[in-house]
Amino acid sequence: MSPMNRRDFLKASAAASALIALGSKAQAAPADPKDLTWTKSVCRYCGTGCGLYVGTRDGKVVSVKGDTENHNAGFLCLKGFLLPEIMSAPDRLLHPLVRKGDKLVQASWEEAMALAATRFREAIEKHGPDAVGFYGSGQGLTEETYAANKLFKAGIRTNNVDGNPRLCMASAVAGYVSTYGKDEPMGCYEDIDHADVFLLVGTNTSEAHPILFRRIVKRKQSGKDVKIVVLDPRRTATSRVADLHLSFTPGTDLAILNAMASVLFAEGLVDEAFVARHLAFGEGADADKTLADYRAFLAEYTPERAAALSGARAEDIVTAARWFGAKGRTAMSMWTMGLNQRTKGVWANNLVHNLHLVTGKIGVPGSTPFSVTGQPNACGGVRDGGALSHTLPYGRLVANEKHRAEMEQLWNVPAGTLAPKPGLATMDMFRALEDGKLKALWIMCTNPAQSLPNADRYRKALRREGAFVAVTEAFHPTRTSELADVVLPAALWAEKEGVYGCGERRYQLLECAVKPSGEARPDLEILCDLGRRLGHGALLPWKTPAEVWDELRAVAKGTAYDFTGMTRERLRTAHGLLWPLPAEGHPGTSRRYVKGEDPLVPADAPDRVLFYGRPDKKAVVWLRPHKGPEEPVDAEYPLWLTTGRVIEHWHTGTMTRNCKELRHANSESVAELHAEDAAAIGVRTGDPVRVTSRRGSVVFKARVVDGARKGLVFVHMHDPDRMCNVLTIDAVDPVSRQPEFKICAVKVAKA
Amino acid sequence: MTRWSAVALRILAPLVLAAAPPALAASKAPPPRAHPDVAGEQECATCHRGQTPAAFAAWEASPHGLALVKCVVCHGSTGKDFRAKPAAAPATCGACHAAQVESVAKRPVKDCFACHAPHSLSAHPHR
Repeated sequence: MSPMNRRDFLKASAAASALIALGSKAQAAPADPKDLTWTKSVCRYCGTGCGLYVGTRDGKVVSVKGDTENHNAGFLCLKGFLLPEIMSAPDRLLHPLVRKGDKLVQASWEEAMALAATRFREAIEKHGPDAVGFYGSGQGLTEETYAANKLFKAGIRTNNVDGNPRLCMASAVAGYVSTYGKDEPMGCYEDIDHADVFLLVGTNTSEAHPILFRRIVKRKQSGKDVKIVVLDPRRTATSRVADLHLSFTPGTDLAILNAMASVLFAEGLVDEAFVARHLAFGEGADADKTLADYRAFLAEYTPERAAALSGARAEDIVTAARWFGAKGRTAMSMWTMGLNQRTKGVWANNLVHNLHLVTGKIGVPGSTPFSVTGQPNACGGVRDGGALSHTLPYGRLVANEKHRAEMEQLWNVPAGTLAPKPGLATMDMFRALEDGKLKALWIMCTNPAQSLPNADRYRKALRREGAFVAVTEAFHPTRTSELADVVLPAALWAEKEGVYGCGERRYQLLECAVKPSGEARPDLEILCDLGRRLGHGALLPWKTPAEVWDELRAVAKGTAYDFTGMTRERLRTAHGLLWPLPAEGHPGTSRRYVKGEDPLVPADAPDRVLFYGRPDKKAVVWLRPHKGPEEPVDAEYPLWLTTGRVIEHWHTGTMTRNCKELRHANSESVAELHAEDAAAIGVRTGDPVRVTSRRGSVVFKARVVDGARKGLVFVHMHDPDRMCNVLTIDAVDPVSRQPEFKICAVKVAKA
Repeated sequence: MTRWSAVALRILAPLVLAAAPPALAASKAPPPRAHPDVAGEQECATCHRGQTPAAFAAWEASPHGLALVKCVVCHGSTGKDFRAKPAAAPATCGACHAAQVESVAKRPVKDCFACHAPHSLSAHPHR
């Protein structure tokens, strides 16, 4: 039994029963109040991508309601419910600002854009195209991100295009690509309804993805003996429904995952036919190993050794593996930043895929490895759209000559326009700003001066003498806009039209419901203006986002992402569509690589799945040894620091802290401590404590919590006044270039 | 409160109170009209687990508690819009339960709380 006591368990079970009953939605479509106009849209927050309707009156957003015909079945979390308040927040930026000395002062659009364009042009002319860069966001609309990508890569001719998905899901991308040859989950949310076992790794689903958590709970209640295993150093709200919670020392889950695979082999839970037909084995970067090599590799990962390394119990590792591998039952894994934000994040992703592959628990309803996403359009806009420094749209790579040639043809630019060398990934980009190699940076729809690890270092870089930083933002001040040279007011959410693509390959149209506030403009319009001023207007000729979308469909045609059939009109009437969707009559694809579902798998394929992403049509089981974090605890810094979310707030808080209901609810970051750690320094809940890492020091109030792990401090990431990222480490995974936000060493003292 | 919901509450009050947790049902003191100031690091549970234990326990064990649909959704913020006795209206319940709210609007009972006991908000099928 998990650390949950019997009383908690009964309470949670009763709650879960009631939740299911509550989830019995009435069949009739809701009739709308007559005085509101309802416009179909998608939630602005996390990557779940909940469908909703925006209710407007007299040109103002006054209400939202969930879309019962979308995957969320009409349900919203409390953040989504409070979305109307962000639109008219007091800190909405309503006019451009330019820096005059130490102050940002109001300016006209003409003055601000002319200044930005001049500084970018000067930097390019004096120092070459790689002296400028674009830092985008998983919150921008697909059309916006595409416009920026095209302008910088094909117009300015630099691959210095990256974005905050590098901070949240780059390891998941590299995990999927290395294992299957193609990015993005192959399963869908509906798999939750068929799963017999859930393996939730490094995810506090209850608070970070509440609507997916609700669906998991529903499945637990309605399915037969559904098991939920949670791997997380902290006992979070997610563990309320767990049958087994494995707590472990941060950074040791690679050993646990290998040990689970070891148990699968030891107990005969491997699907040998599937292994023989569909799998290759590899180590390092080469898939040149054998099943025998893998078994030999696993031999050293006994549950006992993993337990010794991780602090988890060996019998719990065995139980988790037995449940996962049980014959005739389905298994779904879900993970978020606990796995991705690591210097060995790609390896950790590979090891989760290994469990599905050796058991053949993939490609059937309820069996799938599912990376859950944190931002509403990280997948659709940045990942799929190829707006990272090493990628081009829809699975193409900068370093691939054929891919560059394809894009040059599609973009109607001369051969050789696209630079063959990948640009700067996020941390490298901000380091280049720091050392003066990057002269001008355009930041769109994100807040890196709060969200980057080792934040103080890069805050200084953003204000380096000679650096020019333009920020487009809906709010001001943010911790980034306060450092900018030009701040441009961006239209927000329901004030513009465009597509979001959520975690399950579902593309959805957000329709424009109201006019932009003040002088705000959609980012697409701003980028087209910038393009014209830099002499690249012909590359960005669009008058509407719908015109961009038609170009995008052409760019994706014939790729593994093909969504040719998602016309704008179809998106307007549909409640989300899953790619591949190659023709107008095609229903979309719930499960990739599956015969009969994925249009890219031939109808006469010999088996139920075909891993067409790799030339050998096989998925790779990677031999990834246990490796600890970059900065282990030691005598000087004896406690682990980890960071994460609370349900009330989102990212850097620029939106949720504008909701009056949330401003006084969990809005201040506190240091959550285990009772023994708190007692050791003589503090109680509410006392100020100074948390210090090798990079910085921040004072928080202490909160002693039941679910804390001894030796571990947790701080949430949403507070601009007490920034956890002053403490976090900027070491990155060598493959994905994603930083290890989740683990570093700190000391805590009474303040 | 609408006339119909007032009538419905009078009719249903004994049933609702019988279903409510004892501490809540026994409480005679009217809820405060304004909420005291709270510090940013607090969440509702910080105080209400101890201050209103029955209400908190009923919510925590409920479907809304498990889904973390927290107090603010019905009670508003701790500022001027604080609602000590919230009305279950389309603007709140309707965001997730639009169809149910609409079906209730066609009946004499216009307040969701007439059938769904506050805090536990136990579920009933809407026919």
